[in-house]
Amino acid sequence: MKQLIIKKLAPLLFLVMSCCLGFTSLVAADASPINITITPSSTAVTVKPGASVTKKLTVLNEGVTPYTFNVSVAPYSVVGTEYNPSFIPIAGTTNASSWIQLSAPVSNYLGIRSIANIDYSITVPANTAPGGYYAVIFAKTTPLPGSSIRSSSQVGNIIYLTVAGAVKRAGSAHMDQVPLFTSERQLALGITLSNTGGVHYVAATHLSVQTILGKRVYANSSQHYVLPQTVRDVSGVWKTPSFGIYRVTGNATVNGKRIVLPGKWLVVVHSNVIIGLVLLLLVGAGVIALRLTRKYRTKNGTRT
Amino acid sequence: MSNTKIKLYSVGLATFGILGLPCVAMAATTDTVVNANISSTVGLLTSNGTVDLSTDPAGSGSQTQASDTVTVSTNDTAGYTLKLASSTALNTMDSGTDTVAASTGTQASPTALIANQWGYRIDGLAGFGVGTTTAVHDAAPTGVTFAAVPVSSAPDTIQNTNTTATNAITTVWYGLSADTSLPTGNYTNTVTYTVVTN
Repeated sequence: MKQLIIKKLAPLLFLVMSCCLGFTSLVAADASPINITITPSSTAVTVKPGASVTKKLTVLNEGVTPYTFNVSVAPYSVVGTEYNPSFIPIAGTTNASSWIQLSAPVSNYLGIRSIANIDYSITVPANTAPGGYYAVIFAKTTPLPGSSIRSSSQVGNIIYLTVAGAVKRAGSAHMDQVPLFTSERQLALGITLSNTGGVHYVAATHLSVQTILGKRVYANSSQHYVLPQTVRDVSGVWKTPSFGIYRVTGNATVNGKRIVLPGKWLVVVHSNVIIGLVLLLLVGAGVIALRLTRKYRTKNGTRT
Repeated sequence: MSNTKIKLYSVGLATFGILGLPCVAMAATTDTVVNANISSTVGLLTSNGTVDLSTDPAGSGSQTQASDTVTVSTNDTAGYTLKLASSTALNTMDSGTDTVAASTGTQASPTALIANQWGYRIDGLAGFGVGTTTAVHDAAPTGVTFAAVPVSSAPDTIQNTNTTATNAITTVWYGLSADTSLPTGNYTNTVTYTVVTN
């Protein structure tokens, strides 16, 4: 009887122990991934001088690790035509981040698969000149305890603020230089946008490449903010076919006005095609030379 | 009422019903425009939250390398910019008053770690070269090049895209080299990954 009980219980006991050990291993091997999302990631708002507006953003924890996060506000500007974002104040300019007040506590707890809504208000001083002003609201996780390198994750909502009033709106767009001939397997195609006005605009750009028969082989469309007194490069990479004659066309919307950019012709011949053509020419020349030589020998043979 | 009149009235009624039905049907329809404004989002996921570079020092420098995986998702068609910096104005690893200095290399010109230095690298980015960096622990100096983690006011851009992204991964390698002159202790630094849409 005893033996029968042991026989029956042993496999069950083994199974339970295996599960416990396996679960321990799983827990031990499991890391603590931190997952933070912010929405919206950019907000465009217009406010009159002396007025105030209230907006909202949402921070989401779509992961399996709870954390505490802090909210803060910083200036926003860009550097260079590649629009490298910068979050430090620029001396001599208005710091719009000081106009933003957060209604939520600085520090917030976010459980597993939870969301937190953060209200904020933007109050523009009464004597502010009309135009564009920029800031970013950050949500940043508190680092977990640990050794060596600890990390914080920070996501931002960029505020594109227009202070209402008469303001100069001006800008331009032109297609970046396109070579007449290329043997490259990849070619950067882009549009350069400039804003010479006092407020940002959203540029919708479109670039495409067609064959001489009009068949589209590449297209790239996108939308980008262009800040005042800046130049922005918007580009994509086209993987070129082995050879062909193509036309690059494009258009851009600047301050609400659509600009059609002059098209450019492009001849593509990859180096392996060039090598193949050269070899073909050499072989052809060799054959012709051989035939001419034989013809000359035959003539000489007849004469003698 | 005569049969003829009844028949006439019936035909008339039926005709009215058939002709009138579309009018009734037309009068019952209206157009409604359905709008849906999809907000932009950007999300950041780090694999661990901490990276362990614990090292047993050796005379000529013992090197440990480990990685952190940073994953970004955004539906903004302009793409995103991902930056890395120390969370403070200091980019040393500290244990009380003892420190491990930051690498003298930069993203454009990274350098191999010498004893008692730490830094970061990303294969294929800027001056780091293609490389296939691997995790090592207490190894002889690997000669792999690293850059200093910049201070908080001047973060390095470690990824920049111009299109939407779904779980786009950037692997950040951290390395530390220690020799026996470094006092024992728990050396730490907190780095910040920042992502904004373009």
